[in-house]
Amino acid sequence: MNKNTLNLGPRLDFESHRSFRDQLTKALHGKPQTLCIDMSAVEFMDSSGMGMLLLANQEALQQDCKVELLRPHGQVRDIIELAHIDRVMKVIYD
Amino acid sequence: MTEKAAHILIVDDSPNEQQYIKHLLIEGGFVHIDTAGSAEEALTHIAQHETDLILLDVIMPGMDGLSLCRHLKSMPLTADIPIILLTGLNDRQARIAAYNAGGSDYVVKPPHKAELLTRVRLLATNGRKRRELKTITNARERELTAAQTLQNSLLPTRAELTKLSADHKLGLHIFSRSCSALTGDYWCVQPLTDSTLLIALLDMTGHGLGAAMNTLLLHRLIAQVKQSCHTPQEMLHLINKHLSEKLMPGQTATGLVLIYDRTDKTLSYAGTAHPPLCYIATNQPPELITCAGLPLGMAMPKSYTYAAGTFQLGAGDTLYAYSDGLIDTPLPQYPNSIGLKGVQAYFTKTAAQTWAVRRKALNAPPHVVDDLTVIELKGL
Repeated sequence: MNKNTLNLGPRLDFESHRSFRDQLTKALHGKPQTLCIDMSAVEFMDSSGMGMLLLANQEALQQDCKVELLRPHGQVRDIIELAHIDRVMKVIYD
Repeated sequence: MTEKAAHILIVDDSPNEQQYIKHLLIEGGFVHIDTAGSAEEALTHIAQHETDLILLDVIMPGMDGLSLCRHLKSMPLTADIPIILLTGLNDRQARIAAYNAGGSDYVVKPPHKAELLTRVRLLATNGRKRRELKTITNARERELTAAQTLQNSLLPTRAELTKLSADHKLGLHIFSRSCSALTGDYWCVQPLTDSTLLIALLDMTGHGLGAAMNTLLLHRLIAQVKQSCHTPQEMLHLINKHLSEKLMPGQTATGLVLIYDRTDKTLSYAGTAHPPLCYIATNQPPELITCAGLPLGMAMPKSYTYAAGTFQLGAGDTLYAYSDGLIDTPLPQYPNSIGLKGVQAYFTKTAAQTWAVRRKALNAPPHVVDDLTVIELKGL
């Protein structure tokens, strides 16, 4: 199965929007069937970061690609649960 | 625009020196050259004309060049204008004194033409860019001020809040603080019927201008939902329907809608993607009420159910609603921020605080990392 992984840094917030967009464009370039977003290094995510994840999901779905969020933890996991992100994309906690 | 279009001011008490330097600059292609014979004359000129570069004689009667240079560097409006100091002295002490006064460069008189023009070209370019940047910055500041005024005009005045509080026999305190010039948090308190009050708090994704522009949309949507909806759930559904059609991809909002009915002191709520409400009944520990759910702005089936409920807000009972800025922002005694997991402990610890004390703590950090709104409702 064709799968690309996008590794994120310690913060996913308003300031990281541009780099996230660049990474996303590259990750979707090869038309993968699955896009894995590795959240294991992310220590802080705000509402902008959540918007970026939803944007990634929307863009991926447009090219029939499924998104999987890998290993969100701490504050990031709290936000994902608060916003029921697991209802719109697959979240793998372990 | 080339450096040749820069506005240059020569300040020298000697008319001959003025004319000699002006002649060199004209030969170098500069066209906007003015002269002043004293510090006072220079200050008057600078106050009235665009100035990109000053060539300033150090030794002048009255206020000398070094004093004038220091004065200009101490004034916000002139601090960025580059200054070339001109002096007959060519020793280390004189050069140090010139740079200490804030001079950008130093030229020995009589100036060598090529040397003077090279230095003037470089600094004139910088000065010109500085002025253009300042013009753009000033325009942006005026626009931001206008936007702030517009955004503030959406909020009820203190007098209106006091009246609503008295009319509905409800203690009502609201704290709002932005992490930038404009806020992405939107809140409102408006009468719904004779006996009910609508209170809403919505937080747009992101900060700054983009989020702030969307708060205008939220304000309009609140006016629409008031006309056609009767419950908080209906209101959230309609707000979501409009937002999902109008927001850009990736833009969402958290949402909380409350309706207080003074006839039976009930508070109905619906929330989504929003931090939990904190309800503190008299002499009881704080209780968190979930408002988890999908963010507003996403296409959702009409059958989607928002977190919702109704409870009594009796005399002495308190309810706190807040944006996620409260859990993200380091506060006194919470240097690492409260976090969602710490909300219960935070409200337990601060339950007895007066609003004045709570407000002071929220104001304490020199800056906040996210737009922050806290609403306190107290049954009377």
